[in-house]
Amino acid sequence: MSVEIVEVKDVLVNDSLFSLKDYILGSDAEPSCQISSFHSLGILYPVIVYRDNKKQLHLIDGVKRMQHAKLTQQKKISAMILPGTSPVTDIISLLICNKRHEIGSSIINKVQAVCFAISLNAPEAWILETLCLSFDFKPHSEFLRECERINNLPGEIKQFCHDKKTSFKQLVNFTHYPRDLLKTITGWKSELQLTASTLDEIASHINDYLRRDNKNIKGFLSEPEVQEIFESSLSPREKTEKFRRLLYLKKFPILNASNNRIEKAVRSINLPKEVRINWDRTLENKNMDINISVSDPLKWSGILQSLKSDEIKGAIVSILDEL
Amino acid sequence: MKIKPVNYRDGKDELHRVGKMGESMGVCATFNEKYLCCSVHVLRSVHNCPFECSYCFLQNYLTNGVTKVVDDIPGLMREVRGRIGSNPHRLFRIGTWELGDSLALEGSTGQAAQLIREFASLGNAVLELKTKSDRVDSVLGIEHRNRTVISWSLNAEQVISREEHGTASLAKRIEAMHKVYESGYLIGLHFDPMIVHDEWEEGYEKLVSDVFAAVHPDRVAWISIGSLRFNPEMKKKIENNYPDSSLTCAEMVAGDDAKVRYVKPLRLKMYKHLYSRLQKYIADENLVYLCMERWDVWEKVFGSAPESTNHLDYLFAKSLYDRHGLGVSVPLLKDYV
Repeated sequence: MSVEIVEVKDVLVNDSLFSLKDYILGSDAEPSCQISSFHSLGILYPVIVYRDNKKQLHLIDGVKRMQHAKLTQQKKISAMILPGTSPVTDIISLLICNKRHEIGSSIINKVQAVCFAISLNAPEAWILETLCLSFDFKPHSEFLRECERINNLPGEIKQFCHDKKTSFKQLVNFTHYPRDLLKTITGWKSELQLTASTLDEIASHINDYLRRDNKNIKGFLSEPEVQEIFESSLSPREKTEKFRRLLYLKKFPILNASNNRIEKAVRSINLPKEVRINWDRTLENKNMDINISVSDPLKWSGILQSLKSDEIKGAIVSILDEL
Repeated sequence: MKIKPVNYRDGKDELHRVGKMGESMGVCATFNEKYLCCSVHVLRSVHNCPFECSYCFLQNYLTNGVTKVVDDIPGLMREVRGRIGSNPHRLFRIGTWELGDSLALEGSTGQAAQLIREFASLGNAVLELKTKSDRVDSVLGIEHRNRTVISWSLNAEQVISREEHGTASLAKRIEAMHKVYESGYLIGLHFDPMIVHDEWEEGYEKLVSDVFAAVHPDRVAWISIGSLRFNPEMKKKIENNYPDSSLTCAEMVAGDDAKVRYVKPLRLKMYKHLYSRLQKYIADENLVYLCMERWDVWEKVFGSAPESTNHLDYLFAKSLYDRHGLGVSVPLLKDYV
């Protein structure tokens, strides 16, 4: 491996085949200690570049040294040259080793690192058996295709997933939603209190509602109940709860109508306040729980008496019929 | 021979013949105590299916999607004889459709025809071949001695064209059903999975009238009704594999068997509608059952329910004995407990 002095302008940085800038999220915000050392000590180590068959130089390691060289208008820089015959897997290993902290900081970054290796045509067997295992992934036959779908998510959602440390399963879930829907929901992050699971739930319910009623997102946003929530002065937490409730009502209209009928029937029978009736709100189990909460012994027989009344017995039968 | 794993869709393109490995016979995998199950036995003689139904559980079930047929009928029949021989007074219904379609590959395998011949000599077992195909010509002339029921999974034409890709159209299925009926076989009808779609009431009404224009209810061994249900994990699979399908956006909830179904009021509406249309054609003696439903749903649809899964199994045996003389003696409930 040779060290040469090369022209700074000849080194591809952002356009380098090995640039990770589109694959690693969150690194820009991290403080850099090198820049100040460059000012005091200069550039001590050569950058590492790859010379392709057309003699183009692709930066592998040394983004900040290149930035400093350009800032200080240096024309030349010392570079260690990897020849075009260098195995791509070795170069990827080198890059990933250098960026292991950033890559390891979120699942989305690990997934994008896998996609980076795919983009360089690294052998699938190496990606699955070496790279994925080093990221603690347990790849299955569809794993790489899932990674590619995740990598194609809109930038806003990828940044959200990086910030929220979203799990792989949730990332895969997000790939099933339309891009415009995901962009719309991530646009609400200052108005709603979004976690990865609430985003998934909201996206799932809106998506199902739009498909079932053959509507689009624009039409949904113009619905009065939706506008009312977003135009309200509620806190993000309250808005989120209200919005989730609205989506639930839209997703389960039949279930809600049945539960409303039961609630109305329960209200109408004037139960003693010590008695509560609960039922399975999914309506799957034909079962009612009648709970009696009593602390005053003198009230006990009165409660039993009211439960024995024909009115309450009949009402309970009709509620069970509804179930 | 070691077969390289492939996903279930790619695996539909090639057929492998394999030897019998381990036990091939079992009970239907959907058994759950909160739901009434018909206790049908299954013979796993085929794995994967050339058809592509968007709701098919195989897309989430098969770890290796290679299409395989067990090329060892003597081995399969040894296991069947051993199992039914251990309980000779009980009538076993045995289906080959758990992990695939019983007739879709018949042109290449001839497996169903061989099984029909083998079952013809058994006293206490009935073979059920269930299909969404029209591939029946090779089984028409076989001496079956009423020991084989050829069943169709049936749906409204709109559902077939949108969700059951590659299967025979409703007209073709009914034409094939008529041929089998003319050939003296007993017929099984499975109106399952019922799926909500535009004008579903009319769709299912027409389906019932088309079926009974082709076959007489006397020769119908059993009729099942069921609605769309799947493991929640399947939702994303279906949306990914069939982006144009709107199956998964319906109002569904998870049940005690961890499968999602239409909400109960909707299921009841669908079942009652279909059953009321069936009643125009069938006799009281026809056995109609709900597949994997709760007792209270049975009560609301039929006005009564079997006491248990075993009781339902016994009712099948009794119906088949009384109506078609199947089984070795009058079935007794104690043999099914």
